[in-house]
Amino acid sequence: MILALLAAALALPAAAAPYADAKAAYDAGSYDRAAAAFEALVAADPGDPALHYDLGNALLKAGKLGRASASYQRAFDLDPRDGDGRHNLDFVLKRSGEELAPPGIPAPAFAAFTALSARELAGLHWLAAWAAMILAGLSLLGSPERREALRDWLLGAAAAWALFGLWWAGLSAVLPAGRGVIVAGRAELRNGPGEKFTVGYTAPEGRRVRILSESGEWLEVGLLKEGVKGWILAASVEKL
Amino acid sequence: MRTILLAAALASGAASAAAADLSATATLSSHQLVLGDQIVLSVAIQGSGSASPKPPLIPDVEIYESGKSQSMTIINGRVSSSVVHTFVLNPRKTGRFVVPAIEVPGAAPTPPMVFNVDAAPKEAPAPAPGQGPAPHQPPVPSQSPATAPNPGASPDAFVTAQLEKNRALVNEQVTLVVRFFTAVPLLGAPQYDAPKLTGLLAESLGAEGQGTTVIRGRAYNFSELKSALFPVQAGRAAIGPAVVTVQLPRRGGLTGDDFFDRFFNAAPPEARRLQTDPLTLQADPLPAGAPDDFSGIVGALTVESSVDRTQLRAGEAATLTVVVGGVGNIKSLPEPKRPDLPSVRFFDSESSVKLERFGDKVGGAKTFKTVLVARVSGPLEIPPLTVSYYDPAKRAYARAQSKPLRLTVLPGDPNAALPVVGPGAATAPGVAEVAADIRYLKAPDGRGLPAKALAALGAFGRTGPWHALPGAFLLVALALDLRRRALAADPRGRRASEARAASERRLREAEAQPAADRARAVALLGEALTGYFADKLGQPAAGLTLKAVTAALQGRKAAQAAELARLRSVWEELDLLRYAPGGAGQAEVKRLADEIRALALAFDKELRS
Repeated sequence: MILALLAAALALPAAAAPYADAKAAYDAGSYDRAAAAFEALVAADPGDPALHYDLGNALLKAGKLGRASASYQRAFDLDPRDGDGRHNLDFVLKRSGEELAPPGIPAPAFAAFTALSARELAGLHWLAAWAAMILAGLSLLGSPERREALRDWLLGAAAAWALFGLWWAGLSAVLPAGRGVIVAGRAELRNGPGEKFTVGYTAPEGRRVRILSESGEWLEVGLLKEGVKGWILAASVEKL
Repeated sequence: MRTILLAAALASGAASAAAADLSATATLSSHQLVLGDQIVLSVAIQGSGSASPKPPLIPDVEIYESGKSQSMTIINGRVSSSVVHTFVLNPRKTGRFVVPAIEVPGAAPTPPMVFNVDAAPKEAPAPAPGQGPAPHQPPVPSQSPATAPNPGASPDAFVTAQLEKNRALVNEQVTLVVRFFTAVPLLGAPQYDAPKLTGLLAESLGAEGQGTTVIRGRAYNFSELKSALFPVQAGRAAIGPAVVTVQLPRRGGLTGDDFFDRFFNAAPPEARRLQTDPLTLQADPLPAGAPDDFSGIVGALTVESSVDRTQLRAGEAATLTVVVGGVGNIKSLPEPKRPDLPSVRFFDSESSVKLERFGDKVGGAKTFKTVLVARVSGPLEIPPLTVSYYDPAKRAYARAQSKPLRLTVLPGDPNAALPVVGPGAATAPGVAEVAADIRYLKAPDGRGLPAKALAALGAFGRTGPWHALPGAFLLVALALDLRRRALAADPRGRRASEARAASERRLREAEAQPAADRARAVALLGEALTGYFADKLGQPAAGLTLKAVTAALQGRKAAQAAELARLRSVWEELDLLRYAPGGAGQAEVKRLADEIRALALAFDKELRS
């Protein structure tokens, strides 16, 4: 344990140097080099939303709108309360014809709805579930006096369980799993998984899609905004 | 002396006269053109006065003043002139355009005119077979027929007009040379009327050459005037006759050498009108594949850009100067496309033209000055400005570009007024977004404890199968609760179900008794046995006899004869020991306890219900 802590402490300064290099490249306008450095940092710590955010900045400055949008989306999924991250994600989404808040939903309402990430809501949901079930079990096993004492706690835990469960389900419907971002310019959506099928739609780079199925080198995707679907080359989509 | 007078007449304007009796007419070279072509507006002012028209203002049409041509007559001391002002119109988009009434001081305004601009075809039309080379091929230089003196005769004076070549590309320069020859002294200043041009723009190259030459054995003095012509559109352009009106001495009048002879025999001069034959010039369209920013210029261009300051504050203005120079019809050159910089606001440009001669080629420089205001602080690079043109020497489109300009924009003075120029100058102070952009980098160690706690919470939510544990616990608790409730509702059943456990507690207590307390151990063994069957049979333990137990067990499946015999044996042995407990050693107590356990086990299943 001591050795592990020591190794972790030693690793912090080692990680700071690559970050400084990446930042210096970004500040100097060498965006491709900065993007490569940030990618290495993200690979080492994929759970840090700030690194995904920084990678998105470098990719966008390097002209890679789709990949930047994917990085911003990952940062948003990890830390949806970060105002800078929301701003930059909304910035790139507008460039591809979307907005962060779905049409018809006021931005403050959507911000409140997405104040917690799906992971956090899942954690809160399960935490409340654990509390409610343990309290219920203790109530069943305990005396009538204990049951009375635990009743309010049990009701609170059950209400929290229901609240977070419904919230989690709602967020999963708005930001479903199996999403991707189009990284090719004017990608073609065909009516089947192959070149022989006609092109039904074209979609701009950076547009978010939901991946419905896979067939070889092709993905069946649905455009979240327009509600249409088609087949696209897998290389044209970066999965989130 | 004559040539000097001719040159003066050709190069100078008419003498000013009082503004009176003026009339103005305006004509367009075409009323239908395609985008990219130019159209010529000619405003002719006739009368005994001098005035200049104001260039019309037409939205989305660039207008350049191309010059003027003038003819002048003096009759009885009264000056009468005809001046044609030429403007080049360069539409920027398709549609219907109206040339408004043109005002000329002292004259009635001209009526409005209309012309239409269509979209340019995708490809330049190829010439019909037999009409000449393909558009990308160079025009073939050739000698235009000049007006030559009548063969066999040697006139006193004549005029010729000659084109450098009779085929050219649209907007490519062709030099027109008009030469005036005279073998006799002129009486008075000659009058020159420039040829009327159709489909051509003209730039005077000046009265250039003069000298003497011998034609068919006769000596002539000559002077020449060169003009640069630019075809406005594809097709056949016409150059009308150039006219020179001179006063020549009559034949035989000035032959004597003696002064008195010349004085007394002087004859009135003969007015002679000399003119050239009309010429035509075939203008071919430019090759296909023109760049998007092609300006229509045929020649060779360079672009230079500069700013009057390289360091300024956000909100401050600087002047961007772009100079496009070279050979070609510089006057019609549009402003190079400004770069699309969201961090900079550009304002309207002012342009000026300085024409120069490069041999027989006309050129010069056109300067565009634009005020720019930096909106945000930081390094600012103005990318190269480009101008595309067609290079006839290389027979290809080319692009000239300037070097990029780098400026440093310092943060604006917070106390300074908002934009120093432009429409925003009058707006109320406040915060206004001037350019949307992404926000800056975010350090990875910026996460605080709440964020880490939420991250840990997120990790907890992904623990998977472990989430079954509270559910299992709840199920067990529920089962136990149900069992407890069931037992509470059936006291006899509860007693029976716990009979064996109660018996076992007594047996262990008996086994734990010290050797000195055998009576207690035997009593506990007896309680264990009788208590078990009392609980199972739902009877009080006190007074329960072997006979009663045996009777209750009769007819039950588990009550086998051997088991009943073992029960009777143990029961009787305990009764015996109860009265003589000293006979029971430690081993005996242990054996009896095991016997009771075996009996309880044997009867437990059968007596459960």
